[in-house]
Amino acid sequence: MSGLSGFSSVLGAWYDFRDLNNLQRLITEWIAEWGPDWIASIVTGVLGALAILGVIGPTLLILIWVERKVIARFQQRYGPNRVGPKGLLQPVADAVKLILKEQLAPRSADKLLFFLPPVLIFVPGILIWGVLPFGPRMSVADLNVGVLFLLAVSGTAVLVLFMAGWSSNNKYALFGAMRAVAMSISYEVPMVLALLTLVVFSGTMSVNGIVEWQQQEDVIFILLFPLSAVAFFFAASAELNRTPADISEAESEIVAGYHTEYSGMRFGLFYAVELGNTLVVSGFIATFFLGGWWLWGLDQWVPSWIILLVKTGAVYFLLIWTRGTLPRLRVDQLMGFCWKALVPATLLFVVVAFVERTLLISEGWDTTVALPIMAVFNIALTLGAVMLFARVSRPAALRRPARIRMAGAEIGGLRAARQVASRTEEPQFQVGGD
Amino acid sequence: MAGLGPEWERVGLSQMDNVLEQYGHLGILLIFAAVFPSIPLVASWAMFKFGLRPHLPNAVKDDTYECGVETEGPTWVQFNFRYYLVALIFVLFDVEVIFLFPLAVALDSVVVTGMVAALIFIGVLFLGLVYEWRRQALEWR
Amino acid sequence: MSDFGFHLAFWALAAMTLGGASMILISRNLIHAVIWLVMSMLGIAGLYLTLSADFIAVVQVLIYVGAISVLMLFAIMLTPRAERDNSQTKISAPAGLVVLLVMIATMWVAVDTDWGPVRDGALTEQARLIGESLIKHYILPFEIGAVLLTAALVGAIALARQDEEDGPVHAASLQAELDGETSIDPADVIDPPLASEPSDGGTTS
Repeated sequence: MSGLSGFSSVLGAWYDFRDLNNLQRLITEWIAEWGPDWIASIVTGVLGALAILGVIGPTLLILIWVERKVIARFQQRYGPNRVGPKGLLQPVADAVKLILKEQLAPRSADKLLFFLPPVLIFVPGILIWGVLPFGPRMSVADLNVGVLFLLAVSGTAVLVLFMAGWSSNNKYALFGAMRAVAMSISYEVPMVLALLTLVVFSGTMSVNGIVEWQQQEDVIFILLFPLSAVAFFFAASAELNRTPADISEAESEIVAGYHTEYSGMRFGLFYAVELGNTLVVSGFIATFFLGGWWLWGLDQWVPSWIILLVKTGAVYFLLIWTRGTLPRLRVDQLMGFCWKALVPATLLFVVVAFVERTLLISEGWDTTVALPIMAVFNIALTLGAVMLFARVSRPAALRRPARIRMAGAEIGGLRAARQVASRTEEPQFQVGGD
Repeated sequence: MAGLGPEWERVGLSQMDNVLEQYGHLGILLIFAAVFPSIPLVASWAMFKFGLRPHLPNAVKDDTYECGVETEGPTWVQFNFRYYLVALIFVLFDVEVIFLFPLAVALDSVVVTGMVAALIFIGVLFLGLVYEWRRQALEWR
Repeated sequence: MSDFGFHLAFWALAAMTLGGASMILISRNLIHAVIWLVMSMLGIAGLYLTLSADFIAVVQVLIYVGAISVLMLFAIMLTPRAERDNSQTKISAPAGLVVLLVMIATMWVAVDTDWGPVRDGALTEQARLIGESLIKHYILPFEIGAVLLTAALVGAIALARQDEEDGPVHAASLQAELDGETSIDPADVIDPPLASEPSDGGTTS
């Protein structure tokens, strides 16, 4: 927690929980009195790490319950409600079960590389919490290159996936791992480009800086760059291997993909990481596109981290909503969508951001006038792009109603249905997409 | 180092110190991040030691899992070259973005020149993407 | 920065880098070698941090660990002969000698060079300064870089297209199907052609 200059709060006392720095500064000063500076620094780091883990640990357990309950409600069923009041102890029961399960390892698995991935995959997931700002100066590390750090650390998770799949010495795990890696790196490109748009427009690569820019200009980025926000949202949910992009874990298709051979708590760790990553990604979407801890001055009274948590919860709910509602896409549909739709769209918005920022700087326009105009223009551009995409991908099914593109074996029933469709000249099926 | 202008002024060491201190905190978080998942694993192993967790290996259980049937053929399979193409295109776009990030941050001092340079840069790479699209290298990944 | 912390970090990271690099030379399995290479790259990123180059450190992780090692892994997975034990080759002794000579030469040059004027003090706004100098002083290399990247892309696709003509069977037929040349005529299903009539397509994928 970097407390460089004082946070001007009404009460700067240690119990003023609006700024957690107060508590940290108190402890640091107390230590600095009797010890050298570096001990204080280390203690600050340890405090920050414990705070993050203290947030993540219980939250993971609650999240499992939340996710299962909400998805159950979407599917009009109850969800867990046996264990504990309203099923609240279900995650605990799951954790205990996983700890007590026999841990199998394939005989021919690569001994060293097999045991590393469950632990290693946690590291990027927890490390990126370090750059998430909970308040004006409340982040474990306020890096100048926070955005790049976020992208770099997410990129290393890809390697761990591959390690898990390859070391299992199982064709299906390896195949699943290759597909998961290919999908992960594909969807990193729109994510990076969406964040590049923000960096271009705000002129800073620091995550705190982007939130402060939104505070300064009184605008949240989702209004200025809606397509980048949606692209980032979709790309992030693909990176997290959530439906509609969970092709790497589809039980019906490839057993369990890269974590087929992991049993017991090792599998539990993979599952937990997925949830933890979903939470942190929701936090980042809230930070980049919805203003993070800032909410038009409300953060003077309500603690900023509560505001961030509420926004994170909203985005998380949105992620659960898409998971519970949308069907799973095929891997070729996903890749096609990424490279043919998301990448050109986000690239277009990078260009738009460059042009708009240059206009703002060189012409010296007043931002209170120029930004709404740009926002309207960008929203119009977004809607235009979406309609163009709809028009391009729809007529294929309408023009040739009998054309069902299926990779692989053809099933008799669908063939007959296709025949009926082409005979009656009506679009009976619009299966398969682009 | 020739060719660098007067903007390469040195900034005080103390400011950089603070930046590096941030990385130190992240390093501490990294250590905790490695320890945190080990706890359930150690707990599981402890359960094994206390006899609560079974450990009954037999030949079938330790086999590679293939939906219950015997493994057929070597584990290594020939993969489609498209995986390599995706990785290559990803590398190229990553490097492109690495050039654009500093340019984005420096835009307010190299305004129009920077914008034009960026647009040319993005344009050239977009041409590559279009070529790829037309050659159907983007199909069925 | 406290001297002790700095020295500790430097030696630990140097051990990580050199240790990883040595393990690459020793390991028999190509995938293991790539994993050691990744460890080496992370060590280098840490060393950049000790030199106060935080932007370069993060870029190192992003590009090398995130992209290039994945590229290497995919290249290995596509190579049939990557599975064999890599220790028993005729060329290992001469190659080792060449590597040793290159290493000695590099170390000699590194120790001998006068490494420029930045002795104390470091830059906090590195990304910004890099961006400025890219435009003000290195704009032509910047644009040529774009052309180079696109050339790499085009080259890869050109090579891949050549491969495709005699590539795996399922890729080719799948390509044909997606191009719109589905081989089964739906009419054949409901009313199978008589022996005298020619049927349209070939085999299914």
